Amino acid sequence: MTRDFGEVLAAIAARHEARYARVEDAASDAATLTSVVRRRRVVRYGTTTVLGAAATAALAFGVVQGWDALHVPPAVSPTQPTTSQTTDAASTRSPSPTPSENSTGGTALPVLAGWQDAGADPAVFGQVTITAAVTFGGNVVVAGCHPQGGTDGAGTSFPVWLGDGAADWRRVTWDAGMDLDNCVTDLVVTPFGLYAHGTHLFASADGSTWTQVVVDPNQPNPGNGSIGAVFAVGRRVTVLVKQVSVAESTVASLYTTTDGVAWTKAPVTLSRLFDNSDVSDVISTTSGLVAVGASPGGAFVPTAAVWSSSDGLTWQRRTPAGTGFAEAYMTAVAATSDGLVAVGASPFATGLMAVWSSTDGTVWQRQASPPEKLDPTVAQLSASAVASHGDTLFAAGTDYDASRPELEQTRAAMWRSVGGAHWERIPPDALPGAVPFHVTQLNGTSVGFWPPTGWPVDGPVRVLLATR
Amino acid sequence: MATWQVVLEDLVRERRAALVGYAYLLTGDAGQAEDLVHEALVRTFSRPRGLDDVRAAEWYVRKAMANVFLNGLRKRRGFLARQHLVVSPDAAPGCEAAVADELAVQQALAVLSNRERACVVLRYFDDQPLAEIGAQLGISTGAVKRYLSDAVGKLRGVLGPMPDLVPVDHDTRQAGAPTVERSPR
Repeated sequence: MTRDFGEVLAAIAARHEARYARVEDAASDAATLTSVVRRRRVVRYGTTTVLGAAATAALAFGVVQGWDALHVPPAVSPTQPTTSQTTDAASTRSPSPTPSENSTGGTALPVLAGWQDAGADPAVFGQVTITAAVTFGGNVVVAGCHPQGGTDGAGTSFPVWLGDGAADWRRVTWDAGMDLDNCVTDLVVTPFGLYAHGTHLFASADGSTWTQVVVDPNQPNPGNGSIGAVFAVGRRVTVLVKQVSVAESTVASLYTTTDGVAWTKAPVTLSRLFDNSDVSDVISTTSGLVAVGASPGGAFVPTAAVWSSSDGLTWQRRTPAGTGFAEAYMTAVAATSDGLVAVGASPFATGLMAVWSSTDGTVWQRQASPPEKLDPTVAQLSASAVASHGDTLFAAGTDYDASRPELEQTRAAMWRSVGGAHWERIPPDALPGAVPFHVTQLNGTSVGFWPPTGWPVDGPVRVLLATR
Repeated sequence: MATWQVVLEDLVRERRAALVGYAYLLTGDAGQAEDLVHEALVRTFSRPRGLDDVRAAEWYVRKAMANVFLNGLRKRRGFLARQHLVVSPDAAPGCEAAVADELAVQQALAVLSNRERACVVLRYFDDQPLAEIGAQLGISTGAVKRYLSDAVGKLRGVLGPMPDLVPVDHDTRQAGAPTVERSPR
């Protein structure tokens, strides 16, 4: 043979993948499969309920209590914002009341001690979770997405909002014909303007008016396909683009610019370490950027992964350097007084929420997960957002247990830690209410947003101001 | 919509074709590949597993595919309500012949037993360590070595010398080790 045996296997799979992909009936297939699966689940578990998880989580979150024993420190405002998710409602109408909104009590939800509600109208945002917040051009810009794949505004509006950091907010405007993502997962401030991305890349010179960016019009997907991350260091902006290859593979490309206009494709030697990987969150450190996620991503058992870079273009893989990374993935990272903390999940092993820490962003260690009794074959705890408030860290995510009735399978979960080493689950009846998970600073005031990435109760959005 | 439905729909929409391509390596037959994907999807989602993202779900489905394949697709065509998954025959049947290597490998794979074939795919396509292959298929690592040794012997008998096939007795990878170091495919 003229080629490597594995390459030939991949080529065979790719040929049949491409052949099958020509059949445009994914929706029908999904409907048929859903019908078959539902019948089997009815037979096995005696349930036909198909209501959403948001209502479930809302029920779980129905009882909340104030929490005033926390020391709330100055908010962290990294240059590179963290990611999160949000659901988007049309800005021209108020969203219909939903179970989640009713159950959480809207603005009646208590606020973490040391913060107050700014009085923003949640109808401006709709039923969303917030994914990112930055200060840009004298305003605060926030992004979000639909955590449950909802249709309220999805695909018809751009889920980015501009405000004064207090009560006055509006949805931004965007070019007609722009590819609209349901989720805008990150906002990145650069010398050339503000960038945002979901699966597509967008840019704005003022934070108010947005346009789509295509980094390589000669390629079939880059700029018009799957954007994995945007990295900004100094006057260099680099975009990670993922293209689905054959079978389980994704091939990464890096496009970089130093003027915000001309994009250059980086050599494959720089991008290949992101092949088959997912970058979930990026944070700035004194020595550059740290990205967390999973590798390989997509199909195989995910391995928690950390990459670091001093310029956003040349990256080094920092994990795994020991046990505790296999069969897990990282979703979010936050700065602490001792370094960095990353959270995620270990669905294939313990089923517990997973935590890692590092003092320098280079050497990472798995921390003990908050102990909990669960059957990992049917249940898992996963954190999707983390926030640092002084010495206290909060992580938010979901508690899924298939042994519960379907309406109660997915519940909101929150954890806290003092110092980042020892974590504990906050009991459902003692949740602290609206915790600012995405925090930025405007005119010396910390502005935070709730609900965070991955929180199963989508909205209402709360704009929170630090009171001390 | 329940979480599992959202994940299932996303998985079908985004990864169905890739799963069928993978299944073809196992089955060597386009129709059986579609059946295999369908059955693995149904088995994966019929049991509550806490799957809340496509990545995790696809991992389960691929594991299910290997097991379903080895346990046999007892009703290969028309089982369950799977009519939507039937695709038309390729418009250019036999186009694989244009690539001699691919055709030769497909013919060589056809001489392998199901277990040998599954081990070959998991080893040389998935880059899985022997221990993980054994765990996935429910057989010992020694049995995996034996199947792979037999399979490589048969493949070499059809394809000739294949120096790129790593000797199965020298598996330096550990279970759970990442597979990202391989060349992009």
